[in-house]
Amino acid sequence: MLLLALAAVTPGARAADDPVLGLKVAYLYNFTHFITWPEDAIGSHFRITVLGDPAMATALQALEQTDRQVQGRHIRISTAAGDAVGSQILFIGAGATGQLPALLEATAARPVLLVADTPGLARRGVAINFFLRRDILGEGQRLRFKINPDNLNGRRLSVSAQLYDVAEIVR
Amino acid sequence: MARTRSIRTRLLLALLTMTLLTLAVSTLLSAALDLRLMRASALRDLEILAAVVGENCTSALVFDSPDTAARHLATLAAERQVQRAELLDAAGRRFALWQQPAGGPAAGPAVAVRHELHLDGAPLGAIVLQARLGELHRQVLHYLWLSALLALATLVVALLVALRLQRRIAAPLSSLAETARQVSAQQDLSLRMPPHGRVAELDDLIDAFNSMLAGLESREGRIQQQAAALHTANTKLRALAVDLSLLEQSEKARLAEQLHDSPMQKLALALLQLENGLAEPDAEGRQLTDSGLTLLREAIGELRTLQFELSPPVLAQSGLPAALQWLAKRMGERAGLPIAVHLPAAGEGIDLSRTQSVTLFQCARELVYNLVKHAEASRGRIELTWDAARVALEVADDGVGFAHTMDTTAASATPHPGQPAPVSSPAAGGFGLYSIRERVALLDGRLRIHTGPHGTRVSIHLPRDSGAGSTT
Repeated sequence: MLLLALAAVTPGARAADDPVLGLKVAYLYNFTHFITWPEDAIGSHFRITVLGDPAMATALQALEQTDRQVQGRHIRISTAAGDAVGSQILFIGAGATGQLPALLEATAARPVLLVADTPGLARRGVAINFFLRRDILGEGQRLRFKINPDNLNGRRLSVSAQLYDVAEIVR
Repeated sequence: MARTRSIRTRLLLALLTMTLLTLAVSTLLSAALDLRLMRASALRDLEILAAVVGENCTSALVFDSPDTAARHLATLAAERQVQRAELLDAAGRRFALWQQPAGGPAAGPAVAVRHELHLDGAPLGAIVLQARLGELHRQVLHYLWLSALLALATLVVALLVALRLQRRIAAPLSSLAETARQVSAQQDLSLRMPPHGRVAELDDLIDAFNSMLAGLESREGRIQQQAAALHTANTKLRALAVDLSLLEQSEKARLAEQLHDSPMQKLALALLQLENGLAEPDAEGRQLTDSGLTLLREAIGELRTLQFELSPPVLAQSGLPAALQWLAKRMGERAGLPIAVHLPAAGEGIDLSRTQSVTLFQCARELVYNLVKHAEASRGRIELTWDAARVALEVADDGVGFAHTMDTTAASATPHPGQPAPVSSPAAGGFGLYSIRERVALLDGRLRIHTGPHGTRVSIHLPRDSGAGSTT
């Protein structure tokens, strides 16, 4: 299941080399199936901006090569901080956690989904934060994520209850 | 042998059987159809349930959360018919499983539904629900119970309807039977059954019954008329027998008178003269003897004439035409009256029975006798004609006629318009014409008399096939 999902959304060689990275790309894309952005907030493309994680940015750029669309728009990946405000998803990698206050301020009240993979950021303004959890039955780890509903308030994002079902809710 | 049942019982049995059969068939068909519909409905519900639960498990499959999937599958515990739920990933491997705890309903047929899950057009997995339709069977059982109650209620209604219907049909039939019994007991064919007015077939039956009575009544009327006619004929025959007896007496009297007036007188005088002549053997005695012998010869001749008149040998030997010629010549010579005889040309033979010949001769003799004795005619005529259907005898004269005109057949006698009633008895018209009429009537013939101051013409017509017997 994990490999299949990975193969479906991350054909790039780097994602294949790093299963967790591939899962993060897949999950990031799959979030778009359970979250709806206001139409007036989306331009000609569905923009994902990746800051502080070049590997993630590279892996996500594979999505641009596919015909996958979100709400009728093709996906565009950006790594420029200036594109953060106009993006629909802003992934804040470990290398950009220092910019978090400024990014929060810049994107406040805007329909931007803030995603990170650094522990503790869900309590610091990020809406979804990836983490790894040991599988109880298996020997490996499972990629999980936390959702802080408070950090979604005011952003005009419609989040499916199914996303909350599989997430760990934090406040 | 078929058992005899009343129409009430047959109607009741027929209605109840028909109702029961209808109910049974309709209940079975309805139950089968409902079972099928309910099964289809239960399967559709299961498919909807699988779709809903499966869709809820979409995020669990997408984000690899079997715990979440198991939690969603566990919500099926409220659905008692669902025994097992299994979530499969896109490769067909089990992702999550849930089973109904022990103690749940295990009755009813097992069914399974599978719902495929997709995400963004790509296969994501599937959910398989296995269930038992015991609930469905309970519902069918309830349905059958309700149907049985409905059938019972319908039977009660059918029974009431049957009782009412049998009253409507059986009562008129019983009334019809009672009327038939009354007709038989009272011998009264004028009874009629009033129309029923509500059941057409019963009205047809009653009409047919009444028509039958009317026919019987009409036939009885005809029988009574025929019996009356037979009684009249018997009375007439009895009167005829009396009349014929009187006629016979009259004929005997006339014969006695004729014997007394001439042959007997001559025989007595001849006897006296022969006795006296034989007693005196002289010339005077011889003269008396010769005179007696002459008287004896005359008496013998008169007796022969009388015998011929009664039954001329020529009738038996030469037939009716020759007998009529002999009669005309004999009676004409005696009365000094020319009586012509007209017969068909020689060679046209006639084939009459002895009864016809004798009857026609006796009638002719009677008519000629009347002609000679009463008509005061200067001449007479006898004419005999025949064809294939009939033979006709006519005796006519130019005399003074008599007071009656008669036209009669074997069955009736009809007076001519303006004329007195026909002679119908010896007392009314004498034995002559009465005797002729009766004789002709016995042979189904017809007697017609035309008389007036310038003459009388009496004609007799007999059918050729009347009076079976020997021929002349």
